[in-house]
Amino acid sequence: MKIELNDLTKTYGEKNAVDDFSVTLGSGVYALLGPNGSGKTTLMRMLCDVLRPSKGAVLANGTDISVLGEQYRDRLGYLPQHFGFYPNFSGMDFMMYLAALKGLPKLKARERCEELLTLVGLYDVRKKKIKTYSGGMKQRIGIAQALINDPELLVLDEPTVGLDPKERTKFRNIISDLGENKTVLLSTHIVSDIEYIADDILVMKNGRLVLHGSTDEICRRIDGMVWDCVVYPKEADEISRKYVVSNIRHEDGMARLRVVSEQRPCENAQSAAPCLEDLYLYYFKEEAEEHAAEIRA
Amino acid sequence: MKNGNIFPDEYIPDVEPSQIEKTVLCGQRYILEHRPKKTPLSRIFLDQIRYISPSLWVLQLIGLFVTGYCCAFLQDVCDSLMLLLTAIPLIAITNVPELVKDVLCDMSELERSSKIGGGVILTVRMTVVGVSDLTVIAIVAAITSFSMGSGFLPLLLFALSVYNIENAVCLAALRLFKIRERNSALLLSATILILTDVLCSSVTKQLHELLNGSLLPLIAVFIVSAALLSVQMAVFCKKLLIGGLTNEN
Repeated sequence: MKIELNDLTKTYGEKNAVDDFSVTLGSGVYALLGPNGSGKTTLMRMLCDVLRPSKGAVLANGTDISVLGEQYRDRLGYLPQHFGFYPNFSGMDFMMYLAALKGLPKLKARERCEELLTLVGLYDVRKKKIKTYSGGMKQRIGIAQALINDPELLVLDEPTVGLDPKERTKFRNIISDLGENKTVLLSTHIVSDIEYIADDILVMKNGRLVLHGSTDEICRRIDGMVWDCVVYPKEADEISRKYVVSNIRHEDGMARLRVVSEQRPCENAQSAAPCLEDLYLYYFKEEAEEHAAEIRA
Repeated sequence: MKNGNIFPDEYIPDVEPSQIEKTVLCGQRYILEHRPKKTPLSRIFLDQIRYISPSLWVLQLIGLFVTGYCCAFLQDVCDSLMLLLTAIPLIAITNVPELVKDVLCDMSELERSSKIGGGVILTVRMTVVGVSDLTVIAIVAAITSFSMGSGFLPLLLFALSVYNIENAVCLAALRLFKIRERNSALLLSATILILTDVLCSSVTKQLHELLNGSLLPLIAVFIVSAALLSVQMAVFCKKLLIGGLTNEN
């Protein structure tokens, strides 16, 4: 399925949560990267027909999704950032209810729900109430429900929140497999989630699409701006204050810093190959300052 | 025993990858063709009925039981007005929280992005709750009318007016106070119902006159209350469909 987002804009009062966003999505895994409040969730809601755009349109194979309606949603799987469940729903009830809303025949639905609960490792607890599930388990059942109808377009808003590293790896593998013949769009502000699985990265800032391309393509933009340097701890504090530091490691009484800067931060600094995290820090300096403060702490 | 011993002359060729692809595509096409493009309305209704909170049915049964009990055993101390003012709130208490349960339980986005869609789900839910409530209210009015010797139509109109007003106020309050939590919504609903009851109890004399007088004022009250509820419903649906009732907003 070919998805086109044409000049998509959503305005709340005088603020544009999403501003003239245009992109075309085909098969593959697309990652929407941006800090909190950059408009990722609003964009995804419009893509999932949950929110109406103030301007522009979402086209699926050339037709506006508001015209396609049910026909479009039939091919859609969506994991919202926050979702709940009805009181007293067990894992299986939740899945069966959503299968019913997605129009699956009852027998097929049961089979499919069991298959998906097995996939996300919740089959053994399927009869337990969801309110007794941990955060990670709730997130996993959320992922499972998004896959019930074997969607052609899968939209996942912050899917790895609450997952432990093992679950996160398993999830990444599932997404990679799905991306072979489906369109997967996932949003995150956790760079490591998407570095290896995303075919294309869309970087959002203040509601606008500021960068679009493969990891290598977009990282090339900051070629020569990433530095590795080994300095005395006292000097490290000074560099941290002046530049964006993505990592500090202390070894043998010295500090090894990874700095993102257009200028060489110190004399012995060596140029390093940029990665997605460096790019993120470069584009979101304000957030990076908070990140640096955390490192210093 | 090996296959070769059974079929010594059989040669099974390797399958060409293109054939596998073709078979998979045929299977997918078969599934697509056999999956209903449009979910039948009857199926949507049955699913919504199945997933309606049991508390709604339980309270309706309690409302019926209270009416039956009062009419059978407490006929001397009860009057039809007070009986309706006891039974109707019981029936209506979970109504609004049930209608907006997707918003209160954070299921709104999941429901609205599903194939059936939020608009249809809300309409079906309203119909299920509305029809079952109207049936129970009609039975309550019929029992009361039969055992207390009052007219059926005035009692029905009065009961429906109380029902409409209580639901309209509850919907408005839920929206104005931005209540997005199920227990708070239930508490609000109960408070509004008690307040309406207290208010009605303070004007029993006038209400008795209304019930025993001409039908026209009762019809007028009913129409006004129905209009009030319709307006609240319309505002609520509009808000919901433009995405203004999610928890973040």
